[in-house]
Amino acid sequence: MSLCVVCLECVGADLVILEETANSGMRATTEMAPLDIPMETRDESGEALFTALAAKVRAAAWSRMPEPPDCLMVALPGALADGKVISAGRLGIRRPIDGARLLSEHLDVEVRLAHDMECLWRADPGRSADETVSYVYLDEGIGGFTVVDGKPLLGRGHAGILGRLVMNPMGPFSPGLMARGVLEVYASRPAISDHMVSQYRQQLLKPQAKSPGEETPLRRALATLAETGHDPTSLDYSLMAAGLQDDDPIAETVLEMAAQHLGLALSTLLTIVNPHRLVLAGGLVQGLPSVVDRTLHYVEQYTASKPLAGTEIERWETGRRHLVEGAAALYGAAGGVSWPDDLG
Amino acid sequence: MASGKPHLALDIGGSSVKWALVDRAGSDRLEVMAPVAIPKQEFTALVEVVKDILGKADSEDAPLGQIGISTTGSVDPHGTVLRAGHFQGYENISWDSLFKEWTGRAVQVHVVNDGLASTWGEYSLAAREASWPFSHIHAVVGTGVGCGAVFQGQLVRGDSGFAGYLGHIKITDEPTVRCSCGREGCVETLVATPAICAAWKAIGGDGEIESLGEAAREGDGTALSVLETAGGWLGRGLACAMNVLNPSLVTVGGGLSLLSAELKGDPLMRGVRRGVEDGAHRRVVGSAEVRLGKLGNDAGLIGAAALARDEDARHGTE
Repeated sequence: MSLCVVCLECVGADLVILEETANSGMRATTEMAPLDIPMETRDESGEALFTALAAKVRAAAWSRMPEPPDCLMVALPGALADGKVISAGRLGIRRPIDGARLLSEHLDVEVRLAHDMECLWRADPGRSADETVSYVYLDEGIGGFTVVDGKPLLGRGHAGILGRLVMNPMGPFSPGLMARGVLEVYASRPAISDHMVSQYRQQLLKPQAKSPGEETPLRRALATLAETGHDPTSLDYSLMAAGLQDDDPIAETVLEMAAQHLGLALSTLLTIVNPHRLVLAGGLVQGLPSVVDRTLHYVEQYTASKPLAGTEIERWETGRRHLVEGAAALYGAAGGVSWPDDLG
Repeated sequence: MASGKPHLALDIGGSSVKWALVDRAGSDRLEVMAPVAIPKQEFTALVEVVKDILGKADSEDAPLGQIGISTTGSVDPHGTVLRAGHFQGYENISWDSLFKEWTGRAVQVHVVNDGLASTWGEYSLAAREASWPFSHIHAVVGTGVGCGAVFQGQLVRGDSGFAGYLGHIKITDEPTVRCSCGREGCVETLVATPAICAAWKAIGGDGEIESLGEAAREGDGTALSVLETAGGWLGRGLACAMNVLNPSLVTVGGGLSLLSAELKGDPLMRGVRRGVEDGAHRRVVGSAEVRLGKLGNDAGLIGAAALARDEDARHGTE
């Protein structure tokens, strides 16, 4: 049996092929280069996005496999009900769409959709039946998923989505989340990238400023972006880490601000839910461990000792591996979490 | 299966114990008795009061079913009172063990802190009126800020019993008085009665809650604004909890909310609604009703009674 897993994000998608082995179940055999899904495909219906994704998957994966997989699993950030997308703000989808059926028609294989944060839960090796646990995924967006006494916490459909936590009602507006001053505008990778470019531009405007120059990888990237127009995909975590390594003041300032906001948001989560475990995962955890250290310093500073004392904080420095494993696990499970279908 | 025996509900406050019997034999009718004053702020004095109540409530002819207790202080998920600052010696107390010792029977005792008990009381009432399952956050504002949440018909207690610690969410970087948790900027430092009294004093009042209430009743704008500002901060704290839990219902109770509810325009709740709208995601605000609790000062006692009744329905009584 073979399975193809796509982790769909706001600026692209990762694609992994898994095959069943005799001894150890499903194992990843091929990890493809990230699929570039053009931003122009974002529309409120989601049709163009799924159509573009189908074409990319066919071109990238089908040619690498002797025959199409038994199933294509798509992990995405959004609310699902009965396997259909109800809404997915980060992907620009504002109306319900049966994305699985659309993909299946294009690709002629079974397709199932999964909520990306539920995949983290499904892949958790420490998962136990009655546990209260929170997962926070720090990457292109900031996802969250909380399980209370073994039951996923959905609320009215928008619970636990940490990226939507309002940090400053007068803060910058996020068109994707249709909200002002939410955590994601301070601490997601594209937002951090935006803030770094803005600071670089401000430095250039100062009359006494000497040109920040092009002496480091981060500065070279910032110079290019400032000149050519900002592309949110350009500053990746390795460039940001290089900036910290070089004691770059822009990297220091912007990442410190991100850590402070993350610390406050995580503190709120711990204070309200008091979970047994808090699991931090995603590209930031893997690529910027020192920012996670700073974040946890703020968590300690902001959180009352009682709710903090009992919580174990885990870091999964595994990038998207757990998303892929969780999606594969969901394939073998009977249905995933279903959100209320009257989601506003 | 329900036992048909009467249940005892206790609400242990800072100065008195309220109590009631839930008459299972007839109906779920709550027979509320006169509160008993606690003569000294010591645990031994509290014990005497509770034993006295037990003597009146429990007899060989009509033995008690379940016992529900709402108490001031911190309570762990197993019902042990970890610490209650009001009473000297009220630390690491298992009411369950004490009642078993006093009655010589395996009575079942369910203990939660007053925030959770009030939440369960308000939830039980709201759940009767709703035709669909919902999640609920309830905040209690008085000398401190308590809070509880209900999710899928169960109280959210947290792994170590400290879920819903609303009073200790950090909501401002501005300097505030030091909170009981040792930090600054917590909801409690801006919303609880001592904070409101301090704000009242800072703008020329005498720093007493009674005079603030009096001035507000007479329409004094500054007194009303003190309550509305506090409500705004409470709303910001509630917005944080709402963004995490996305509830269908948010209620506010406690002494301060009752004081404000008597005033024109209910300034505290007006501030709460503004704070919630500012601080919660619009979809989270759009899917929640935010209102004053309906049980007033009896929410803790009614919650303790509901807890006893519900545990009896769920597990029965030996």
